Amino acid sequence: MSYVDTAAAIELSPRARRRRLLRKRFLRRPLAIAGLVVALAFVLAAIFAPVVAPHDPSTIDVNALLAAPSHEHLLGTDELGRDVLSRIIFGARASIQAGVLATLLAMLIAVPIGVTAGYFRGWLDPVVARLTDVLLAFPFLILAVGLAAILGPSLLNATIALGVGAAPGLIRIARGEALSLREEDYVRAAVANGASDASIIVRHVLPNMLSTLIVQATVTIPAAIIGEAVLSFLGLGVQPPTPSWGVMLSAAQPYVNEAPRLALFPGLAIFFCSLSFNLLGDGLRDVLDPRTTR
Amino acid sequence: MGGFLLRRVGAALIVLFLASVLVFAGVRALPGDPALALGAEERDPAVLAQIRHKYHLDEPVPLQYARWVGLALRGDLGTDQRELAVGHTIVTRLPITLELAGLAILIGTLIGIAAGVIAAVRRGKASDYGATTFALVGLSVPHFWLGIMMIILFAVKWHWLPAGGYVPLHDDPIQNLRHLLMPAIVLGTGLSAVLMRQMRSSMLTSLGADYVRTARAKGLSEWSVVGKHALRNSLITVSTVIGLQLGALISGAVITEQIFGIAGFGRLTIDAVNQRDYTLLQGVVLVAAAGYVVVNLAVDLLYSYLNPRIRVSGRPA
Amino acid sequence: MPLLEVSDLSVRFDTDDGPVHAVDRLSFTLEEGEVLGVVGESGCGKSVSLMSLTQLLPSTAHVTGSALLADIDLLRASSSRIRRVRGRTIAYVFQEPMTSLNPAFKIGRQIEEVLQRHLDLSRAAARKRATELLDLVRIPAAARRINEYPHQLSGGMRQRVMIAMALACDPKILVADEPTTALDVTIQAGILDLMRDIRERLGTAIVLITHNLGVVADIADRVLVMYAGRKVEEAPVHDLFASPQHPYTIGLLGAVPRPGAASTTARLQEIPGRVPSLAEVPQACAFADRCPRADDLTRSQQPELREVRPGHRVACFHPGGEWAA
Repeated sequence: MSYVDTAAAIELSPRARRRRLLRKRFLRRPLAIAGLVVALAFVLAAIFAPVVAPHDPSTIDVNALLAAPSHEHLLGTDELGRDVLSRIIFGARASIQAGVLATLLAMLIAVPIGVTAGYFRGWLDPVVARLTDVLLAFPFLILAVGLAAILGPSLLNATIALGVGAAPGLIRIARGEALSLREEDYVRAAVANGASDASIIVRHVLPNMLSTLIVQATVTIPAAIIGEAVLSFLGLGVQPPTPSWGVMLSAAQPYVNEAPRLALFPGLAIFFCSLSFNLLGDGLRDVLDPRTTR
Repeated sequence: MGGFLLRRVGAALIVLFLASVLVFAGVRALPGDPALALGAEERDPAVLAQIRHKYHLDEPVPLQYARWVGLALRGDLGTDQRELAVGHTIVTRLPITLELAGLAILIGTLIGIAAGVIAAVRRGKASDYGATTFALVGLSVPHFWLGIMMIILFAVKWHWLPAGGYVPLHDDPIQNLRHLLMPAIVLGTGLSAVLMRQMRSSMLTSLGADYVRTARAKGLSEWSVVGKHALRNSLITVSTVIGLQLGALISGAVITEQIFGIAGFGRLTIDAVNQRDYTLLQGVVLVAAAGYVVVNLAVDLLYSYLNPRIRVSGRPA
Repeated sequence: MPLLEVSDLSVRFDTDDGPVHAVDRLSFTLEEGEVLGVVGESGCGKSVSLMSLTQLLPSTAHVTGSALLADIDLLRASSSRIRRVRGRTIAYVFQEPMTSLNPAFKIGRQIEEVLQRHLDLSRAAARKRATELLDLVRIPAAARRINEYPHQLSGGMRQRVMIAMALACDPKILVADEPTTALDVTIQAGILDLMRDIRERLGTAIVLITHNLGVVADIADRVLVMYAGRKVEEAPVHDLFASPQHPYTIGLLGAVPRPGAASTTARLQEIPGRVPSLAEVPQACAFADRCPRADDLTRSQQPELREVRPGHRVACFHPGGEWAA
């Protein structure tokens, strides 16, 4: 038997090899897979709500006010006789839309600003750093509440408020990444070879930030989902009768004695939706970390 | 060290200044005519004009700002809609929220740090998964919902704890704690979840460090190795996180007080927004931002003190 | 009676990719006051074998064999027992002085810790002894330095502090794992001088783990050469350098540039190939794939250690001579 280690010649390109490795690592993590599946389920339910929901979320049935769960209404009805399950499914639309779009907006604002500040430094960097410090002096939710109050209550405004509120934190992260990446040897080599700043950013800085950004996105989405719920709860987001998990929670408060499940179910929906994204984000962070061995 | 301190304080002051501008501008940007809000039922334009003049609302905005800041620096935050001194209102309501926040921090840090250390030391075993799951749950659960659920269970169903309200500490300490227990737990959950993960990650790094190997090779007990050598380094790293989490604590307090019907500082914010009471709102948000900046400065200084590299040579390694 | 007697020490790690046999039936002895050099490439098992003596390996390691110190079998001792041995009877100095000291504590405190733990000294007495130790390892201004933090010291000084810490309780054995590898060449000499000094003054036995043959030639009494987890040669230092027997040792010596050598234009001897994977322990000589003398015999059987001269043992079927037999 020979000792010599023969590494089998792999025909894949480095990129494809890496993707395969990441996929293998991901598949070893049941919690992350669960997170992905559930998050996907929520997203699909939101997109295909009219098909998935058993009833129309706004149909009022005066004969079945606050009804307990039954065959017909799996989660019961609310104070206006509307099917709770259907409202939750349609409510997913508002929450997920807000969550995903707000995160996207935050990324679109934060990445260009952060990377430019971190990479070019100069006069822009300290200005950006101070401004983000100021904005970060206000907690994310307070900023979002404030902005939503200024813009007026609506789902769109709530989304914008959440996106802008999440941006400062992401700017700080993007800036930090750009700052450390510009010191990397391969960046310096590219500069020495005469590459333009734009090409360096596009070809070296951004791709290496990608994993951090992906993880941050999967963690910002649940924060934005909860944020939307808070805003709607405070009356600053989606307005009734449009279903949203936050609105449902707010409406459930007076009925806490007779029908606590009106508060239970929407909250569970928020919880599981946010949990699934967090699990996914955690798993991705683990998988993308170069120090992970499995 | 002195220069370092000065720079930190200077930066904090700049941030505070910019924050005050932001607050002022933000409040001015709120929809609705402040004069209408101040005038209650009045619709007569002449009276409204008088109100505007009385509250300097007809002056150019920068001048209004200067006036406001000038007074604020002397401790006068103006009077609100009900002719009450804003400063006074804040001072009476702030201790309530501070006590709530204090309890929440206590609960949050104790649970978070303990859970994090246990998870790191027993990595891969049942207690690690348990603690990590707990942290994940704590991060994902919407706290206002948690509050509502706890009220339903502990107050409505089992009648163990009161559903809301507040009893001052000096009136009746036991009742005070009974009223604040649930809100403090709700607030502290988020903090403990974040801390637990940070602590675990930090401890894992520390436990894998060379100096821990040295400590073991010296024959020290596991207690010493984990509790002294590893923990000390981890606590230093984690202390910065606590500071950053205070912001989330403030926003959490706002909603928690709303749900539990506690007339504290957080609740004041919502009331001010709803009533369009600009003077009150300005004062409240300014104090909140100032408090946050000050606390972060304190945490920064604490970190500098704890980290020998900065304490001794005045700058990080 | 030797101070330390290690017999058939084997260490197996259970990893996700299968078992890794880091050490395979290693046996050696250590006399009082002796300096034993352990030489080999990275990954040959030298550190692992010495760490296993005080049960310092992670829980994924399975250790078999025996290591007798006085009348205790170190490998089977209880945790409280082995903790009394660590730092007291067997002390370690590690490779990276930068990271081996706790950055959050003053160096004085870190030395006093050992004294308080094992010798039950009072705070004041420990402080006094710690200062003496810093003097012993020739750190200038010891009384002032004792209150400093590791980051305030240079690499060489940190290593001296590590040595002071190791010597605190006057151990019988000092295990130095690549103590000079992370240091500048000029500082290296100082550390080696210090170790020689310690051996002479305190009579401490030293196990010096290194891949640097120059260091070994400098201060070792006896040398043990390891390859792929096994001991392949063992001899008094002069014998080893004068007439190396195992092809690996011959190759190593040939790879060392020597100033003033016969021909300065001759190529340095390289040993082709790589260290084999430690995942399997097949029936063959571990070095067979890289050895110019390999034949059917060496590829099918493991050579056992045989004494070719008094005190000089080698595990090889075709020992002696030059590189290419």
